[in-house]
Amino acid sequence: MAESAPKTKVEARLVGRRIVVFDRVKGRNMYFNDGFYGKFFMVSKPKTPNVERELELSVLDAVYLAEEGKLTILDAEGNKVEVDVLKKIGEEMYENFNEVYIVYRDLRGKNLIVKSGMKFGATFVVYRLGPGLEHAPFLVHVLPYNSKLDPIEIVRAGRLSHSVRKRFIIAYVDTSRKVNYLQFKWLM
Amino acid sequence: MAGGEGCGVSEAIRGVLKGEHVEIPYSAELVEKGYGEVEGENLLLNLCEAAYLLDRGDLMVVDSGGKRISFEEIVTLGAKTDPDFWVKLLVYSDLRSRGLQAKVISGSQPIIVVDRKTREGEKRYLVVCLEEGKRIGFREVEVFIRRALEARRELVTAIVDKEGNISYYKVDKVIGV
Repeated sequence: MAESAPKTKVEARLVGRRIVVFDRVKGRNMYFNDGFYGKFFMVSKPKTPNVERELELSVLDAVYLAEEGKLTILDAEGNKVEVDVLKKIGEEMYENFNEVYIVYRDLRGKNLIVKSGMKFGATFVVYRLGPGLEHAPFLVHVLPYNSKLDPIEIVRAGRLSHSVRKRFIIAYVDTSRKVNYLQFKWLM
Repeated sequence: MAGGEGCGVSEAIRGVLKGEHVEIPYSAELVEKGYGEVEGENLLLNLCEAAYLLDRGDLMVVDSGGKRISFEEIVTLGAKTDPDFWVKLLVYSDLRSRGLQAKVISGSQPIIVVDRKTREGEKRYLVVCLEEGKRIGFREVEVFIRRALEARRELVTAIVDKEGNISYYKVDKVIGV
């Protein structure tokens, strides 16, 4: 890949509650050269790194990149949207946004690529190399610490990981804000 | 009757019901297979072991007056003081019939320890019986994880559904995700 990681901050626009990078070059760079953030408008799975489309970021991506100093988000009037405001948007959109974000941050901090796992029925699908580059990503499903599991959900987790051939991990954030990961494997 | 591991006794052993236990004469064979607690010249079987052996036809139980005690009576007695008795018996019997050495741990939690000989060596499990519909919090899971760790056993959940079907799932705490 010819382009290097972005040195200049990328700007994204808050469109209602969604976050979009309209600069196609910077968007492409953010996706292909800096951790596969977001999704290109009208492109489901980019096969080659020559996509020329707007890049929609998840609110988790946006908060993380803003905290890392890599992204500035502007509202309709061109005013900077602070991270706290962005987090509020996240909390409004997402029931357990805070815990989900702590897990997202923890995984990104381990140099993993964290993408939406919605199509697999989990919060995240996590890659070491990136989507399209490997066949063994794993699924991470975030649950609130004070939630209670019906044992049947353990069976579902085990079954799901078998049917999609991906490790299925349940993550929760304990009271000391530590992220814990549990894996259930069928034994007999 | 289920197949699998027999206790290797051709004739049913005679046991006497004493409170919450069934007393049988000491048997090196049964001790080796993980049954009972040795007490002097005798072996004390807990009600779960007694119910399992009785069901297999390896044991007959009488009360102190010599009256025959049925499987139903043992189970009813066991469930009187332990609401999890039937679930424990289900899982215990299933594990035993798979040829695994199992031992019910007395206490408030339905826990069974299992030793399994495999080609790779011996596997040591701490099996927690969980019932469908009976929700469990992460705090409880953490307690089980710690307990298994302290006992140097792998944590396994035996999930028992509404009809008594059982699925076993191993629980691992993933550290290096």
